[in-house]
Parts: sequence; C-alpha cells; structure tokens
Amino acid sequence: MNNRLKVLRAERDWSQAHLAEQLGVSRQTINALETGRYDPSLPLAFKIAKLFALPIEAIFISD
Amino acid sequence: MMTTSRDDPKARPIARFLTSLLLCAGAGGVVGAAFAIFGPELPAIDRLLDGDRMAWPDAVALFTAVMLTVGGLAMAAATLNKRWLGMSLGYRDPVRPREVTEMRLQCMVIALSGVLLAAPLVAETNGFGGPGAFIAIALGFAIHSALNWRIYRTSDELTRAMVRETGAMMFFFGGAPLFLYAGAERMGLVPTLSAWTLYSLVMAAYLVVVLIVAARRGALTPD
Repeated sequence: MNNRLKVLRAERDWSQAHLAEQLGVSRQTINALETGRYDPSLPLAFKIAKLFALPIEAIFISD
Repeated sequence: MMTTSRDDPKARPIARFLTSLLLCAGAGGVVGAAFAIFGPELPAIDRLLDGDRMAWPDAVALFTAVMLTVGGLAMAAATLNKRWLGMSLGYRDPVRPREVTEMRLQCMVIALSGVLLAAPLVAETNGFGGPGAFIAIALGFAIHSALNWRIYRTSDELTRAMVRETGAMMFFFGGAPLFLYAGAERMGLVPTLSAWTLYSLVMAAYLVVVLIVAARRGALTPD
C-alpha cells in the first residue's frame, strides 16, 4: 500500500517529530510509514485521516 | 533554505548503512581480538574457550550471547550522542530525552539477554553449577521478562507489530524445525539433542529473525 503522508506533511511544513507527537507514535513509526515499510493499523489510519482532515482513501492508496 | 546533501540525513542512506556496517565490523573485530589476546590471561574465559571442552552448542550460545551483549552495549553507547543517533535513525534533529530513555531500556534488555544466555555456561564451566547460581539466573530472567513486558506495554504500534512479526517468523524458523527434529528423534532417525543445544539454536535463529524484521521495517536502514 502506498501513502501520501510525506507529501501531506511537507505541505503543512510539519516535522516528523511534530506529526509523531500529534498521532501519539514514535518518529520511527512515521519514518516507516513514509518509506512504505509499515502499513498502519486501522485506528492509526483513522487518526491520520482526522488530523489531515481528509478521507482515508485520499491518503492511503491501494497497490 | 537550500539543504545540501551533507546536511540532509536522508541523502546518503547507503553511505550511512555502510558506515554502520563498518562500525559493527570494527566492534566485532575489537571484541574478537580482546578475546584472543586477553582470554587466555583470565582463568574464567580461558576455561570457557578451551578447545577440548567447548562443545558446538556452547560455541553457538556463546557467540549469540556475545553478539547480543556487545550489540546492546554498543547501541547504549550510541545514545550518548543524541545528534549522531538522530542522524543514524534518519531524523533531521537530535533524538529527544524520552526517545533516549526508551532506547536505553531496549539496549539494557538486549544486553541482559546475552548475559543470561551465557550465564549457565559460564557458571557451570567455572564451578558455580549449584542451585544458588540457578536461582540467580532465574531471578535475572524474571527481571528480563518484566522489562520486556514494560517495553511491549509502553511502545507504539510499530514496535508491537515487530514483536508479533518476530513471534510469527520464529514459529517457522524455530518451531517448525524443532517439530521435524523431534519427530525424527522419536523415530530413532537422528541423535538425541539436549534442551541446552535446542535452546542455543533457537536463540541463534531468534537473533537472525530479529535482524530480518528490523531491516524489513527500516530500523537498520531508516530510508
């Protein structure tokens, strides 16, 4: 699964640390998400969607 | 502001990976040389490394134990330089105090895993094979388990996913071969192995599996 997390974060000029803090996860998790090495759980995906005020399918794209 | 490749921690992942690899190889070389040079001088280590007495399961256990202990201590040492550690993890700024505390706890658990694995071997080889030594090892194991549980409870979902993934892979790399060997042993096709031999092999497999899982999730080469 691909995602637009890095682009969305850059658009808002947020650091990985800031995004991690907002989501209550580690920076390692943000890094793994952005590099496609980890797909988030459904609760975390919903949290990300809520934070960016976007539907989940606008952030996560199925292969 | 323009960012140069020198400033950008994501710009040279291969160089960073190779640097880490060289540092690990260097640390391994130093440990190996230290054992070769100073081992014979220390009676406890000399008895352990005596070629006539060291069975291959003990060699596997000792190697795994040294890898875990040195790896844990090396990572703990890396947390002393927050900027360098941040860069090695692919962050743009130094690691934060809470991240350092979490990493040090993980390093302590990894190093303690190695100490516990070597403990029965070192104790027995040096004449401390009694119940007292075993109780001390069991207490150490209880502390290790409590720390592991704390890490699992306080970490975020990536770490938990890695722990679950390691458990699943260990079913295939640890449980499945164990079942096949046990079946063959029961049928008299292969020689009987001791619990210590099997555990040493399982721990060696665990070390490999942990590294595979960490690499897959970007913990070794963040980008």
